[in-house]
Order: sequence, then structure tokens, then C-alpha cells
Amino acid sequence: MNGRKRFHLVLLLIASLAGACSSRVTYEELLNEPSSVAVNINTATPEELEKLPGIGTKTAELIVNFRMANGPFRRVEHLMSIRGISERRFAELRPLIRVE
Amino acid sequence: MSDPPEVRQPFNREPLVAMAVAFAAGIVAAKVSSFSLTASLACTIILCVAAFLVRKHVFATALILLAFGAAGAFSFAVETYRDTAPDRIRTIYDSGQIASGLPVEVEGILGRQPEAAFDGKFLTLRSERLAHKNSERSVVGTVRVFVPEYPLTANLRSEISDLKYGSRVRIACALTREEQYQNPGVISRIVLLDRMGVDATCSVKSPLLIEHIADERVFLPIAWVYDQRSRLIDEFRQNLSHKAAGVMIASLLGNKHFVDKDTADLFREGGIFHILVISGLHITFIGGILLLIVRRLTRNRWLQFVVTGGVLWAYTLAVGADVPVVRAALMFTVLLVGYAMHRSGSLLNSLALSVVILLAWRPSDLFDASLQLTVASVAAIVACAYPLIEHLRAIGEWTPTPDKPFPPNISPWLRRLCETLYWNADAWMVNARRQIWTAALHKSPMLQRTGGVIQKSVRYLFEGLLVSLIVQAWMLPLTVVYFHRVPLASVVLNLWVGFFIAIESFAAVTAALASRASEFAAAPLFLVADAMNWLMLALPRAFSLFEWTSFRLPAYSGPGMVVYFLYLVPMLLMAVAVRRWRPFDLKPSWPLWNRDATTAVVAIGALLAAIIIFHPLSGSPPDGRLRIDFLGVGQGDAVLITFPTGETMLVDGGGRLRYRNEDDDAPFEPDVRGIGEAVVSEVLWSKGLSRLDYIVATHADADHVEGLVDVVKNFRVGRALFGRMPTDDADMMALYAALDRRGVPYETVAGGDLMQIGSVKVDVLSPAIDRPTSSPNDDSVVMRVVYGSRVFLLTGDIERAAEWGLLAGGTLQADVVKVPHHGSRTSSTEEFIDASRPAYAIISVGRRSPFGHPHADVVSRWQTAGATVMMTGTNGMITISTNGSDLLVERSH
Repeated sequence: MNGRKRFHLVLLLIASLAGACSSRVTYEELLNEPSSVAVNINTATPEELEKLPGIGTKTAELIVNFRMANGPFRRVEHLMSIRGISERRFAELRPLIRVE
Repeated sequence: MSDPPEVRQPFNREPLVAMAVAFAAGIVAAKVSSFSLTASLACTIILCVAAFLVRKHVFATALILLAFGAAGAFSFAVETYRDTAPDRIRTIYDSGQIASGLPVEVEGILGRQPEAAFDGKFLTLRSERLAHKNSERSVVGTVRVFVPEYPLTANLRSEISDLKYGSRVRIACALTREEQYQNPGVISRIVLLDRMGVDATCSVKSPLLIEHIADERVFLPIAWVYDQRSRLIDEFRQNLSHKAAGVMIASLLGNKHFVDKDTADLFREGGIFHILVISGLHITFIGGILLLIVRRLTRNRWLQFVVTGGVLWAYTLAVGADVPVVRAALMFTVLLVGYAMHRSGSLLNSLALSVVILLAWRPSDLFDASLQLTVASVAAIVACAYPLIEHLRAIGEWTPTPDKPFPPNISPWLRRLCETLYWNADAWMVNARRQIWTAALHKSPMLQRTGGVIQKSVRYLFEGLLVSLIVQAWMLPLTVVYFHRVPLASVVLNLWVGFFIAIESFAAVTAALASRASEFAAAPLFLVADAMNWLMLALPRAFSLFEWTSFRLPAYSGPGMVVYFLYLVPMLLMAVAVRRWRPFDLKPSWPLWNRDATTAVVAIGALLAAIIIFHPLSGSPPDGRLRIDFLGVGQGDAVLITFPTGETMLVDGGGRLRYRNEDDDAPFEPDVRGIGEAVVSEVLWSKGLSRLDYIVATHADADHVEGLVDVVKNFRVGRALFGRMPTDDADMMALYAALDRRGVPYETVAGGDLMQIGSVKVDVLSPAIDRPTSSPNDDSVVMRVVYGSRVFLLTGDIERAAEWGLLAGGTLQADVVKVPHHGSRTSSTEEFIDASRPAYAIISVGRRSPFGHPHADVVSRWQTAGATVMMTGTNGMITISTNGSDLLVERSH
């Protein structure tokens, strides 16, 4: 293969790699998969929970109390059982939290 | 010529009636004195054996009846055993193992299709597992879950759109099984749940909390039937006006959630609500039509029975197999069995058999209003109305026959009436030509020339009105006790509404079926259904303008209730009289022994009816004590003051805060019983009241004022007192309209007004007439009630500003204070608490306030000042009474 073609091939390879990387990111966003920096709501301290958007001191305390009274959350959706976490707030939190 | 000897029938034609009564008596005995399972079973078996041994004696009948009684007690014991099984969800909650309202996870299978409501769906779960605090156990019991329907927030997917009959789900929710208002006179919510067969309920915050695990295998024909029903519901909703859709979906498909409040109220006022729910009327209608169709297809009666019965029970299952529907289907099936066996059935006997089967299946239904109403109305028709009509028909159609050679021996006006309705001159002429003798019959000339159609219409109208009247007369005690209503208009409305709804149903169903083939052909039929719906509601609406056609009244409680049982006696004697009546006897005879006896029975019946309707002495006599009842109305206030002279004053009537959605173009008002009707009115009726001397609306918040609208409609109010009200509030407009309609005078009160009611002084302390305030809550009417040395302070929803205003006014010392604004921290300032220093601080609030009322710091502030704090949410209705010097506190819980 001459140099020009090889150059184009390499360019294509790099572009496709970049495309694959970026599409993986978009794919994750679409699926709302939590990324690996997601907060584990079963082990987080109140301070870590307060860092999440829409969760203040009182809600964090309620989450911890709920955990102590009823055991760990089985699914992230169960976070909505807490008073003050509506579906809308959960939608914002969804990509940022996990349960294991 | 002597009378032919009367042949004595050796057998009772209706043996099951006595057996059904014995069975019911056994259930009552078991409820009162709880027999054990084994004891009652042993009794039944021993009595049966004994009856068999002495079968040649007359004793045997008595022993058989006792055996049925013991069987009734046994069924009740079995039901209690099933209901208190340790793995039943209701046992788990009733025994306190899990407190109501705590978050749990329940897993189970949907026992039927999700039931559509106007704002969400109801899921009925046959639960199998319950998880709480990490431990899971297997359970039994039915749980009802409400899933609200609003568009899911973007990016979120829910698994529940494909939920159906047989789906296995796991739901994270807070199951509740608890009382709601806890006032004496208001039916317990737990009892209501048990009647419906539901152990616990909950409402999930979001569909995401429901996990759809799998779909279990189901019986496909049933699933298909459920599917068709859902399709029909959707089709009706899309193609009919929302009023007509609500009526059709309720009365044909058994889903009441789309009926709007206006239509439901019209049906209730008219005493015809039973037409809106699937009941015996519908089943008889549908079953009758099915039978007519099937008879043309086959002559084999057992085949007719199987097909008609099969379709009828499929329909019963499809519409939810609620107890009243199953009852009606059972009764129809019993009759159908007799038909299939080529036997002529005694309707009364069939009714009795159905009652025995129903009571054996669910013995506690004997105490359920629904069963009592069904049995009373069917018994009225079968034991009284039908036989009477048969007699009238025989009288009217009489021609000389071998067994009835002489004309009926009755008064001339009765004979004329019957002949007008039933005499068929053409049939007589045809028949007369066949005879070898001739006779000249002088019948009433009316209607002879008008022809058959007019006579038939008048006849059906007369028969309908007669049946309707007899049924209403028999049901009078039940409608008074359960619905606190005497619906006089229902005698006529039953016929009118029944007629139009039949046409409407026919049009709607045909249209729905046609629309599967062609939308175009179906459209005019849907319009016809809409038109019929409008016509159907027109007459009830007209009647509702006149109060006397359907009025509300209290029921007696305690020893006064005996009058309702006594009323049964003339009714039963009336039925006996109808059966014993022989209009063709040679000797003129009275059905009930003699003329005096008959007149006496009629007079006593009328007297008892008058007592029931005019309820003299239903309230307790004034005893010189001032009573203040703080009703439990959830979030809101309702305080009833009963003065020592017997006068009454209601301060606020509770109500529900409704968040009106601004973008509702055609707001659908669902049929939800308001607090004014379901709680406040019921408490007032249970006290025997039908009149309130004063009502006071402290301010315009819906949770104080909405209930007053219903109270004004249901009671005769002397006068209404208001504080400073906003000019454009919707709830106040409704209240003013209701007051104007009833001609109740109203006036504004302000700080400085004084009322003297007997020896009780009522001081209005607020709002100050010349000082406008910034918040409507601060405009609340504040009243101080003084009797002897005892002082009560009722504060409405005042906040800090008004409290400080009051402090400037003078002494606020009181024995009992209603804590302002439901214990919110906008009120109850230290200075106010210090100035009042009550012995009791009452907070009117719900069990779980959405606003967090009462705030904990407020409660502790009152407690530190030395007051005993009581809350209507936990204690139910709180009653404080005084004779001027003492102070008695009672609470319902």
C-alpha cells in the first residue's frame, strides 16, 4: 500500500476509534447507565449524599435513617420511597447513583 | 251449593325460606357469642342425625331448622378462622407485626386486568410474599394498589404498560391498613376494606416502583374476556361524551371511576344509584336477553342453561366479580336450573336458596348493607309485588271458567281498575264463540276503544309504579339507616331512568361492535347514546330542584333502632295478606282475618313509617351541659358546639384541598364523597340531628369551608356567620349559592360581637372590623365560649400577626384551646400560649399531614406550658363537656 493510502487508513482507524469511544459515551447516556463514579446509596455517608443534586441535609438524613430502619436499597428506584424525592428528582439522580 | 273442601297441601311450597332464616339466625348467634369450629360442626352433625332418626315425627322439622342454624354458626366460625390465619396480610397488620404505613415490598400476581381510573390505574394483587426490613415471608391476601398516571419524566422508562391479568409484580410501597377519621357514626375504613375483600391498600409514588417480573400462565378465555372489556372501556371513552361514557362504563362494565360527581349525585338523590352499579337488574336483563337468543338456537334446555350460564358467569368475572354481581348471577343461575329441569320455580324459594348459598360462602355479608338491600328489594318483589299483580291480572281478565265460575268478590272501584288495565275484549270474543253457553259480561268501558297498545303501556306503567312503590316501602328502614335518605322520587325515576338507560346501553353496545367494522356506521349510534343519556338525566335533574322529593334525615341509634325492626312486621303481614287473598271466594273475606285486623295493620304500618320519616326524639335531650366536639376530619377543622339549651353550632366543616390544574380545559370532577358528606354529616346524623341552629365559617380555606356546602344541603340551618371573606373564592361562591337555595340568612361577624345563647356567652374576638390584615388566615373568626367558670377558645387558622392582635385585646386565659392553624409554626407564639395557658390543647389535623402539621416544636411548646395536647388524627373525635364547673374529656380512640 502506498504511503497516502496508509495515512488515510490510519486516519480512518483513529477516527473510528474516536467515534466508537464517543458513541459509547452517548450510548451510556441514552441508557442512563450509571458511570463508575456513581454514588453507592447503600454505603454513602450523609456528606457524600449531600453532594448529589437536589439532596440537602434533611433528605440525606432521611436516606440514612431509611437505610438503618429498612435495610439496604435493593434497586435505585426505591430511593423514591423517601419523602422529598419525587420522580423528577430521581430522574436527575438516576445516572449518578447505584446500589452495589 | 257448599264450598269445595279445601285440600291441605302436605308440603310447604317454600321450605327454604325457613331454612334460610334459621341459617341467618345461626350466623347472628355465632357473631354474638363466638362458637368454636368443632363445636358448631359437631352440633350440625348431631342435629342432622337426630332429625333423620325421628323423621316420622313433626319434631324432625324443628331439628332440621336447628341443624341449619348450627350450620350457619359453623360457616361463620370457618370464615373467622380463615380471616385470622397467621399468614394473612390483614392478620399481620392487625396484630401489629408490621405497622401500617411502613415501607414494604409486596410480590404477587395480578388477579385481574389493571382497572382504569380517570387519573391512574388500580392493580389488584394476590400477594404471595411480603418483605419488610430485610426479612421476607410468604403471605396470602389481596392488596389493592393505585398507580397514578401522569407523563413519566423524560428519559425514564416504566415496565408497567404491559401489565395484565396474570402478571407477576413486585411493588415497593407503604401498605396501609388503618382507620381514617375515627368519629362515632362514621363507618370504619377497615370494615369497608374487609367487605371488599381487600387486606391492605397503597398508592405508589411512581410506576417505576413496580417491577414486572414475569407473566404467569392464565386461563386464556378469561384473559380474552378481560381484554374485550378493556377495549370496550377505551371505545366508550373515545366516542361518547364524558357523562355518557361514565354511565355506560359503570352500568355495563362495572367500573365506577369515570362517573362524574354531578351524575353520581343525581343518581343518589333520586334513590336510583343501584342502576349505576351492576346489580340484579342488569344481570336479569342480560340473562333474559341471552336466554331469548339461545332459545331460538336450540330446544335442549340443559344446553340453553349451559350457554346462558356460561356467558353470564364470564360476564360476571369480566366486570370484576364483585360480591353484589356474583350474588345476582347466583340468583339467576338458581332460577335457570329450575327452568332447565322443566320445573316451575317458586321465586321465593329460589331467593331463599341463593341466600343460603351466599351466606355459606361469606357469612359476614349478613351484616353488610349491600346484601340486606338486595334481599329486601328482591323479597319485596317476589313475596309481595308479583303476587299482587297476579291477583289484579286474574281479576281483570276474569271470564267464567270451571274453577272460577263467579265474578270476583271485591269492591267496585278495584274491579274497575283491574278491568281497565287487563281486560282483553277481543280475546273474550274469540273464546266466547267456542263455548256452548253464552254470557253477557259487563266490563269497564274505559280504554276499550283506545286499542291494545295504549292499554299495554298504561298497564306496564301501573305495574312498574306499583312494584317500585312496594320495593321503596320495604326498603325504607335500610335507606334511612345506611343512606340517611328517603328518596320519594325513586318510585317514578326507577322507571324513567331504567327505560332510557336500556335504550342507551343497546345503542352504545351496538355502536361499539359496529365501530370494529365501520367507524362511520357507528357514529350516529354513539350520538343516540349521548342523547339518551341527556334525556335520562333530565327528569332526575328536574326533581332535584324540589327538596321534598329526596330528603336527608338522621337514623335512630341505640334503643330507638327497635322501630326499624318493628316496621318489618306490618310489611311481612302485608306479604302474607297478599298470598292469602282469594278474590274469587264466594264469601267476601278479608285477607287478614277480619276488617279490623287489616285496618289495624295498615294503620300501624303507616304510623311506623311516619316515625321513621319524621324521627321524633332522635336527638338526645338537652342535659344542661355544654359539649364541644372536635371532629376528626383529617387536614381541616370541624367543631360542633352543643349548647345546654340544645341549640347547635357548627364551626367549619372540614374539606379537601384541591389543587386545581390550570390547563384543564374540561375539568372532570370525579365522584369522590366530600368530607362534608362522608364525615361531618354522618357524625351529625348519628347524633340524631337534622337541624343546625348556626354554622360559622372562620375563613375561606377549602379545608374549612368545602364541607359546609354539603352540610347546608343536608341539614336545615338556622343562620350562617362569616368573618371577612375574599370576594372571588370558588368554595365560598358554592357555599353562598347553597345558602341562597335553602333560604338561610347569613351575616358577617367581627371582633367585638357578642352572642348570648342561653347562659353561654360567645365572644367574637377577631377579625377586627377596621383593621385589614395581610393574610386571609389572619382574618379567621376567633371565638371565646364561656359557660360558668369554663372558657373555650376556638382560633381557626390565625397566624402570628392575629395572635399578637388578640393579646392586645384582653384576657385570653382558657381551659381548652383549639391550637391555631393545625399546629403549624406560623402560629402558637410563646406569648399566645402564655396568655391562654389551657389545660387542654386540641390540634385538628390528619394522621399524616402533607404539610408536616403539627410541627414538633409547636407541640412541645404547648406541653411545656402545662397543656395536655390531643390530636384528632390519633385520638379521633375529641369531646369536651362541662356543666359550668367541671370538665369532662372523651376521645373515640
